[in-house]
Amino acid sequence: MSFIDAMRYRWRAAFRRADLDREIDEELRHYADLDQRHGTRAGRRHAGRAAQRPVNPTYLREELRRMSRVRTMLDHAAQDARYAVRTLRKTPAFAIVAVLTLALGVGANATIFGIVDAVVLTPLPFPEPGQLVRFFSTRNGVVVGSPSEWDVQDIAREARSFQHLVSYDEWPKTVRVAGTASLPENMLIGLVSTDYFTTLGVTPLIGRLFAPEEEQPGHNYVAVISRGLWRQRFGASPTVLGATMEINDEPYTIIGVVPDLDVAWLSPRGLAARIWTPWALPAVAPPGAWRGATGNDAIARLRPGVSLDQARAEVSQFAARLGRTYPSDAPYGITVTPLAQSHVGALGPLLGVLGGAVAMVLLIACANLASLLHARNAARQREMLVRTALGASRGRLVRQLLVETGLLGGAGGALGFLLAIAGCAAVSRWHPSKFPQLAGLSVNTTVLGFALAVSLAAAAIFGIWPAWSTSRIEIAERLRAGGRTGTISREQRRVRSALVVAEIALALVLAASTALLTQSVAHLTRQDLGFDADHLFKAKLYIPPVRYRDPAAVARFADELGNRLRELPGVEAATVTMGYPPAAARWLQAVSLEGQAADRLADRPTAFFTVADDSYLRTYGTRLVRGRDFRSTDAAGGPAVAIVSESFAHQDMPNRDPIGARITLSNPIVAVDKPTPITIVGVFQDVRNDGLNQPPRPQIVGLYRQLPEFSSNFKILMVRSTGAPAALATPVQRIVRSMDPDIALGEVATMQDVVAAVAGGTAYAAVLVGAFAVLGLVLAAIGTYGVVSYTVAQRSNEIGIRTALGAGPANIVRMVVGSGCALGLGGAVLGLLGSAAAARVLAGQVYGVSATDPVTLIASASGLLIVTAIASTVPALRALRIDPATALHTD
Amino acid sequence: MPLRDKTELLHGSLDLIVLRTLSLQPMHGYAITQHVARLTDGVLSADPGSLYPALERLKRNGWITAKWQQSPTGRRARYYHITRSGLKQLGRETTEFERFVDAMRRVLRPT
Repeated sequence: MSFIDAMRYRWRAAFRRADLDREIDEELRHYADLDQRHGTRAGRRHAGRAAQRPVNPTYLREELRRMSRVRTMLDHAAQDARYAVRTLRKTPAFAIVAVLTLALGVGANATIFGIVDAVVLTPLPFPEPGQLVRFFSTRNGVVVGSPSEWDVQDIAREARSFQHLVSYDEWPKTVRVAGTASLPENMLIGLVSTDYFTTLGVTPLIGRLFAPEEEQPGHNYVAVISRGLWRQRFGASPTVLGATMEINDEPYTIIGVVPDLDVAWLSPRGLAARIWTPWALPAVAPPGAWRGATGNDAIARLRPGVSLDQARAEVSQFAARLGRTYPSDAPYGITVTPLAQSHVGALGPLLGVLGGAVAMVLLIACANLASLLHARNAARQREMLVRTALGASRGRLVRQLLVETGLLGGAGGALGFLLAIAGCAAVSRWHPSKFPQLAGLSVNTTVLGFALAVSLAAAAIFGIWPAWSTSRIEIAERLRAGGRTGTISREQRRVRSALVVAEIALALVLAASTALLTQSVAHLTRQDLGFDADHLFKAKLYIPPVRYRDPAAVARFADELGNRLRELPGVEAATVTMGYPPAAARWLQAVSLEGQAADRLADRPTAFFTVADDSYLRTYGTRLVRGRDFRSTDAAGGPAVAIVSESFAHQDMPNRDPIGARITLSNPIVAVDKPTPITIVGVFQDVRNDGLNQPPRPQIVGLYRQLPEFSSNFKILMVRSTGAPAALATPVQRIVRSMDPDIALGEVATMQDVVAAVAGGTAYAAVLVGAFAVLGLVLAAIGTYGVVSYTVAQRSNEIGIRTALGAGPANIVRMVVGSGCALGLGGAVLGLLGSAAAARVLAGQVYGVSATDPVTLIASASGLLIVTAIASTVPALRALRIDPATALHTD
Repeated sequence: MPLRDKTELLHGSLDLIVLRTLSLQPMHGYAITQHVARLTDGVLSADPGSLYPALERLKRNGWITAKWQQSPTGRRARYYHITRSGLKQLGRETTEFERFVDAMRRVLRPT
């Protein structure tokens, strides 16, 4: 008999007694009929028939009925459940409040658990995900990009810890699918080798991956596309193999389709590539190539049995060796981290904060629930007394209460799960762009299990305790008290008050955290960024090298574009640049100062660097502090000039006047024998160029027309508008098309959006913690309301007497609201202590304000006191309506 | 000759008889009685007074299940089916019983 059958049997035994009886009767009648029909014949044949004892059918029927009714523990449970459903239906308000309270607490927790499950607990969707690691370069122990492709090639050849090791890059490029009349699109292209796919354990769905010779420069015009793109653009047709697509105006043949790689979380752009082309690198690094740290990425698969520590030790030794051989490697170390760690990424600390917040919501919900059950059980003492007197054992009574709480827990868990479905859908829909791993978030059976487990555990824990304390009531004592419903021990009142105090304290911690996070967001987005983020439009474009073969051609195009943009109506200023704060450009340059001997590269200062046209400062709204801005007379071929930030001037040239000083930069793109000397002509105010919460780093800006060796085909447009910056997208696109119809704009955004995206994590925490704080406040208010109403009901006698003795309404209200505020005060004191403790968790997320900021804490506490005062006003008003005569006659 | 009294059907052996019978094919109560009587020439009998309580007991242990089915005569009858755990139980009880019979033989063997 399967478990289901067993349950069905028990169910029928418990609930379908009439059916069972009917079946017994029918079966016995069947036997009797057959016996009568065959009886004589059978009797003749078998002598034994005579010896058979006559059966008393009535007795047998009763016997069978009795057997079918034997109660097992499960039957008792079924009976308890029926009873519990009946009782709960008699007090729907209690049932609804209890279930909703639990559902809100569980829903919030299950939603956050859903995120944790998807981001942390679920293994990466690749075979043997534990073997996957990511490479990082470090400088003085701080991660600064990844090792260069040349270093990775060397390590891949010799290191023994890895099965596969690959460096890859990705670039937004202009793509036009051949055969479709669509306009060119700016898409992210992964520049990879076949090793990229083998490292991840990805095999093609159709077609093949890159052949080794296709990874040689000049033979690399082949592409692998994702299943999603295949379906979307090629109708999933196998004829896609051999089709061509134009990438930056060069034809690429599609040779394979691979599954969608959902690795947007690996990309600093928060996007996943859907097209991959070979990263055609020479087999041997060109002499003098820049090694060191780069903006590429590198991933690897450990050999089976190799531990992370072993791999770390090996690459660290390797880094030291590389540093001895190549000067540009000298300052850098190399380390590996599990790829899963990148999947969690910056969400990790945020999840800690959110997890803490929802745990508090759950505690508040549980306290409310315990308080509700406690009150209810106290009110049911008379019922319990009667049942005890009628012989119900204490165990039986406790069990019945447990079944009731179990039902509440199950219902709360189920409803909480529904809330989590909605919560996860909301998170999947609305999340900061820097957390792409939240896209597609949905609940699964693990989350369902979690919701039910939390709910049932909460119901069990907070059901057992009130049940215990109820059943403990001595009958004798109760009888002495005359079995009155209103007489509750002081101890019980104290317990309920303590619960509400705890709720208020937790709600205060949540409210204070929200206030701190909100202030941080305000600080991050409204602080002096060093530039004016309002009315600033940003877009990226790639000027294809097929038609713009040298930096001079690119510079001509870019300058012409800048001029045309500045003529556009509604445009105040425009610049074409290669980097933009506050998104960390991560273009770090080692700088040699003229007259300062620094033989070793490691000793040279490094600074963020970018090249732009001469409108850079003007467009950004960044103030010039000393010297002069770029001029149109700083022409190509003329003496190269640069402007530097104040922190560069202070940190890197502390004892000299930066104006007029000459610097040279080591070149990342091509090895040059003789670096161009650059003269510093101006100093500008510091700009938030390393995210919003890090101090500004030294920055150098040059002119790309003067430094062609630093100019690449990627350019960023910055346009300052007089009206709404987003409205510029169409006219700017039109201008670009009019100059070259095959160039598409990518990563179009307003600077406000960029700033908001950089502050996104904190803003998200503020919104979510805020939502949980509201939840906590509502629950705490309900709790306060419940306890105060309860006190009013309990003291209605006393209130009646007071009224009869001439106490005015003001006195009564003061007494009742006072009792509520006493709870609020207690909660506030505890909550302030709790907030101080929570400050440590929050510290990493709070900027521009101390995590124990007294103003914030006091303001939050005051707000909470107001809420408790309001929550106790309602019962106070009810107390006023107590009729002394009725109150004195009750019981 | 039939056994003198049904109490001489050793306790538990009725369960064994029913399980063994149902291991051949699903049957209703009357058919079980008939099968046992026919097979043992009336030496053993499973009269309804002990058969139905036994069936209820076996059902509760999960060794057999009951299903209402159409009998060949077209009438609705409750057929009993042996379950997988019933078959295991049958194996266990058969071994037990054989050991018992063996032991009895040894006791009764003329010395």
